[in-house]
Amino acid sequence: MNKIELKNISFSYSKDETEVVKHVSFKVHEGSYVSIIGHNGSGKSTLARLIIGLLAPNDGEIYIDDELLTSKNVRKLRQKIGLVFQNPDNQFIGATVEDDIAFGLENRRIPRKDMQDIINNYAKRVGMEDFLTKEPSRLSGGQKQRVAIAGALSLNPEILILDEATSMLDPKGKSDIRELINEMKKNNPNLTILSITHDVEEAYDSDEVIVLNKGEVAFKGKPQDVFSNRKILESLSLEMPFIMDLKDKLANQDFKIDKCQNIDEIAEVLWPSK
Amino acid sequence: MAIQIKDLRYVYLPKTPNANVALDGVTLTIPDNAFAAFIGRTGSGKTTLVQHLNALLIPTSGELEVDEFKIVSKKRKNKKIKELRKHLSLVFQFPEYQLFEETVEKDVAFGLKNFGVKNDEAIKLAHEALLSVGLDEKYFQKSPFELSGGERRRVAIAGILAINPDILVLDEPTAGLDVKGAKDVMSLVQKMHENGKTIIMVTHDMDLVMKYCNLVYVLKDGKLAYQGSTDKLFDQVGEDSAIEIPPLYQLAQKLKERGAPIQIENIKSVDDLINQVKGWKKRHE
Ligand SMILES: Nc1ncnc2c1ncn2[C@@H]1O[C@H](COP(=O)(O)OP(=O)(O)OP(=O)(O)O)[C@@H](O)[C@H]1O
Ligand SMILES: Nc1ncnc2c1ncn2[C@@H]1O[C@H](COP(=O)(O)OP(=O)(O)OP(=O)(O)O)[C@@H](O)[C@H]1O
Ligand SMILES: [Mg+2]
Ligand SMILES: [Mg+2]
Repeated sequence: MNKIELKNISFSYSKDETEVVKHVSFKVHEGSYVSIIGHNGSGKSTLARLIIGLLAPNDGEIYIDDELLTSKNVRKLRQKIGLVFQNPDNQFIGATVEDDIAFGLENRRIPRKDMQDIINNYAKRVGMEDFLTKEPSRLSGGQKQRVAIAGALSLNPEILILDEATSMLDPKGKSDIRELINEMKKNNPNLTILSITHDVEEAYDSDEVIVLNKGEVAFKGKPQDVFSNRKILESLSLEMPFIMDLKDKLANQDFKIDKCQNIDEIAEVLWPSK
Repeated sequence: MAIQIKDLRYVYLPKTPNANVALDGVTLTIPDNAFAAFIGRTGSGKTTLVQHLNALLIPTSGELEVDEFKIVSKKRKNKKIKELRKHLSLVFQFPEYQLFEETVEKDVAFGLKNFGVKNDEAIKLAHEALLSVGLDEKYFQKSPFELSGGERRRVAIAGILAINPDILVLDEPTAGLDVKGAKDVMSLVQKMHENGKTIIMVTHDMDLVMKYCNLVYVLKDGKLAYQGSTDKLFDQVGEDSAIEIPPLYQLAQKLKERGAPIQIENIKSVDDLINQVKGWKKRHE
């Protein structure tokens, strides 16, 4: 089943400006994890704002659960989505971390008696339980991103849209969030994830990758296919994920590393033990 | 020494229930022409520390010396702040806090004009800086607020490059940049380093640290947990959860443990590793 479908979407920020999203079409299956990558200004965040109905397309149609998104049902359909904005400061409304998460829950009509547990739970899961009474604007960059993620996850959305949501987290913080999302996915296999990122390693882990280039879909497919052609990657200002790059270059030196899945196995081929 | 920090302590919102000790007795030195990285987990105090370097924050106690400039805990005693900021310029972690003019061009020219460069010359230098970070004429007259996240960061970086300071401080300069943009910015910065500038960078990207930096400072809960050269960083793994070794170096390390003749110090990229292992195939046969 298609969770999200875009049909021939075009958009410009003002009438006289050129379109920054051009004839974009794609489908996202329920329960899949799709990455959107592409150069700065390629239209990724604009697409996210179109899908949650903060912007309306000049042309084309957006479907959520096969229902056409219109100004009439936008509030209803938006309830299915949790979005983490690229700049967390644009997301915060509450005066404290706690209020901020509560605000989102109120919007979704979560009963007040359940709220505190949900807030405590998600704050803890992103490691921000000691910051509940702090002002969101007075947090470090990574702390802001953690709070923004907790806010979106606490809504228990059917669709999670992450716009470079972990770009300022330390490596351990990044992997903690990845684990948290995997765990949510295990509990709810129908959770659909749309993740905007510049991190090719992160995109390599997804089910499908969509590459935007100057507002158009340049490429779409399995990560192994999208990332396999160096020429195409270069023309799109991208690079190969580390493990693919390494294996490709070792294969060129006649090492038999086809079957290797990780660096331990590669080390064994390069310098066998005994 | 370009920079000396002595027993620096900084408390946010002092004397309130939300008082927060963000830096607690940090002492360190950064030599001239270093390419230094500050790393550490979320909230460890990196941004707070680098904001002291150009007196954006004033120490609660302790002091800093940035070449001939001294930054002390008493506000009124800090002189020549403008000269300091021309000598040492900082790119913010959130470019939004740095951009305020109505056009991109004016924004980049602002710093220069502030330091006495005539308008025409400032605009010319601004254009050069913008082109160097991959923003062409199409962007010059746009509002900085009508840009994508990565485009904004490029404008913020251009603003500092245009000033051409002796010490360049970059707070997560590559966050939000596309792959090519990150490479371009890092090679511009490296060129400045080769021309004798001192570079200080806050980053979570350990590949960048290994590739470009010669000194690493690790902050943990507002304290300095480690300082040393980049090659010694491996020995610290496990000591500090902020340090994660990139897979390329993990592989090199594993090869070394197996007794392979690998020189980790000479590895900066996958190609460097390939160059070293190339001949091994024959040995096995
Ligand atoms: N509010 C706005 N008004 C006018 N133009 C805008 C606005 N926001 C973005 N743009 C332009 O639209 C284009 C697409 O921007 P968008 O933010 O969607 O890019 P992006 O792919 O998310 O880039 P990044 O990787 O830098 O975040 C860019 O060229 C940008 O300059
Ligand atoms: N304006 C502020 N007011 C009060 N506390 C603050 C403020 N800014 C940061 N802090 C707190 O000070 C501590 C250090 O924050 P800082 O921004 O220096 O961390 P950081 O190492 O840069 O983290 P990150 O990697 O997430 O950017 C954190 O606990 C943070 O919550
Ligand atoms: Mg964006
Ligand atoms: Mg910071």
